[in-house]
Amino acid sequence: MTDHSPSEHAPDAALIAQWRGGEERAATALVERHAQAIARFVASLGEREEVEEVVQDTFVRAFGSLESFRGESSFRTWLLTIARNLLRDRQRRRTRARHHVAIQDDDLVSSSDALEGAVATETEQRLRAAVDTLSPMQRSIFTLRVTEGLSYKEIALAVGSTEGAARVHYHNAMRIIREKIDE
Amino acid sequence: MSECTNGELRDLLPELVNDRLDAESRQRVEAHVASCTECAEELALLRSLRPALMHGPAIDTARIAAAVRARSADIAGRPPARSGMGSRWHLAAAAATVLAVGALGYVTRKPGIVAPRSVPVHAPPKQVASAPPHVAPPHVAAPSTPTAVASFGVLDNVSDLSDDDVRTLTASLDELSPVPDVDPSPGIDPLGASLEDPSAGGR
Repeated sequence: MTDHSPSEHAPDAALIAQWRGGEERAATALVERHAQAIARFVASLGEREEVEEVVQDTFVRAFGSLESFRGESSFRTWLLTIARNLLRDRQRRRTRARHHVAIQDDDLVSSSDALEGAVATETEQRLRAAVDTLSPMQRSIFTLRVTEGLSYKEIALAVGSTEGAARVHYHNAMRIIREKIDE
Repeated sequence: MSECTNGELRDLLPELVNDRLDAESRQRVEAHVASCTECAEELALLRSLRPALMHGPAIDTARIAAAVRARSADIAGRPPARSGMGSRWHLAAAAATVLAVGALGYVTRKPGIVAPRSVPVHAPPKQVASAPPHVAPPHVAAPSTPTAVASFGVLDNVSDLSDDDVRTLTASLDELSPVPDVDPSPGIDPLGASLEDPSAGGR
């Protein structure tokens, strides 16, 4: 028996069209497809305690505003943009509340702290430790480039920067990681 | 280690690792890597880094999907809800509630009984609109008028509504939505550049 669910291999645009047509399972498929990448991105920016909440807010916000998504960027890039804005809002609230968990260059929060339950080999731990020495911006750009293969243009949209800055961040990050590994 | 002289192809190594190159570009990059020690080493590093970075925080995608569906069912702007049975049901339920309230108000207006007028007629919509923007079961955010029904003052006021007022009230009930006003758009950064790393210098 063949499963004709809307999920599996349908492209994002098709799933979005199905969702707009009232097919609720399309939302499940889109969440399952993109949630983990959004969670990695959120963790790479230093969020530790409320990763899932941010991811959920991202999807709720996205589906609530889906009418405004015109497909000028990929759906994943759009989600990343929303996640980044939500994180920034949270950062502002935390700053105001004087519980400073800032997304700044001098914040050396380890993204590994958020990787609860992840089993890593010694090599992976060493590589991750090297990545954790990056600034949050370097780390998020490097992670998007390496794990998603996003172009600099897509990354610039996601993190609110420019293609040139994204390229510089990526190459600086690569240089730093190589130096750390060679130590 | 020899210095790579082809930055353009070197820049495509992450796309190669993520299998995002077309056949021609892939062939070019692989040919370059075969003759460039630096790129070969970087490619090996990327292939080691990717699985290490792919480990993300544990999240419950089923719970997130359920929250999206529950929340979206309450969003007036969602096409299925606007054009489907759900929207019509909401409108019918709101209209029926208003009519029932009005009828009760008419019945209770007997000589000698003075109905208090302490509660404004638009109280229920206000209460719904001020609900916190967190995910909640549909029945929590769904427009309803139980609080208003409890007051004779409301009954009296509602019974005095004209047809146009009733239509306006039911329309406002249908439009209530917990969706935030802000819609982040790619390329637009309304909150400034606080995430930007000034050390990049790439602007």
